[in-house]
Amino acid sequence: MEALLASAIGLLTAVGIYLMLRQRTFPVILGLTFLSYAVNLFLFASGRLAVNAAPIIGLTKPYADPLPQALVLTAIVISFGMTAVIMIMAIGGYLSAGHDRIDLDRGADE
Amino acid sequence: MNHWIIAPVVLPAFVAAVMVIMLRGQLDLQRIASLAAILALNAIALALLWSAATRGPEAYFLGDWPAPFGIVLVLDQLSALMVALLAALALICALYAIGSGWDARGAHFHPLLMFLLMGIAGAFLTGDAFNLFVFFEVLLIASYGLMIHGGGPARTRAGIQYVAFNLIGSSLFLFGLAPCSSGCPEPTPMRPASLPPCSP
Repeated sequence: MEALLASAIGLLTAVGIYLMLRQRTFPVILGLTFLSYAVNLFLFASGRLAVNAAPIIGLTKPYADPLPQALVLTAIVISFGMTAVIMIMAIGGYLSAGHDRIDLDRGADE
Repeated sequence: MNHWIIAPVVLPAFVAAVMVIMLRGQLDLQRIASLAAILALNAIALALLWSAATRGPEAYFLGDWPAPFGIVLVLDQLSALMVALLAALALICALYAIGSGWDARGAHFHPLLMFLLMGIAGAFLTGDAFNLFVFFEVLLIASYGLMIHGGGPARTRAGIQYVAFNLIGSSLFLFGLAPCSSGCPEPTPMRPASLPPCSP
């Protein structure tokens, strides 16, 4: 399970970085989403992986660490909100500029 | 427990909500409310600075929850000094924005400025690394609004780049934070020694 999780985090990070380096807005946003998935998994794994364990101290022995689960919930909510913000701004930029390139090309604006 | 420690976070949030709900579109009243809130923030920051200088560091547990589960604010000399600096700079920025008329170019300059102040004050006062991240996102999301305040294609596209860079930075911050917060078996600021060790 550790190998599966580690390779999933690595794969998501690689996909995210590749897509972030693209030129158009939508792949960049997708890349940011993949990177935030990777970091959420990584944050979740920071509490040690436990199978069939309740996140409550004293109920089962061993127990799953509840703190990273709370942290990852907060991180998911925040990254979801940030994705919504950048999506709205990308649509606004596309509608006002007429193209969806993410780099600042001075000639393209005129 | 000194309840004034939470005031630099709560006051701008409250004033921003009042401005959005009750003073929508009334720029003069928004300017007055914004300046009044920033002056009050200055007074609170100076009082906190005096308290930190004379009585030493102080922790504030929100809702009296114990440290790893609740949100902890810490007032020490550095955070009090930074909040005082924030209040002084906010006054200068708000006066410049009002004097130059920049706040009239968009709809919600003053509420966004208040939310920005809330996030910065929280980031300075927070006691653990994860809430630093949360308050940082609060100030960033207000700064996104301020970044594209006034609109226009060039500003919007620069704003997209700004948001993208900040999202990358937030992800890297979380990548750094996750190994620090795992705290097994040794205690960290987010996991004190009083908790039982987690299973290997």
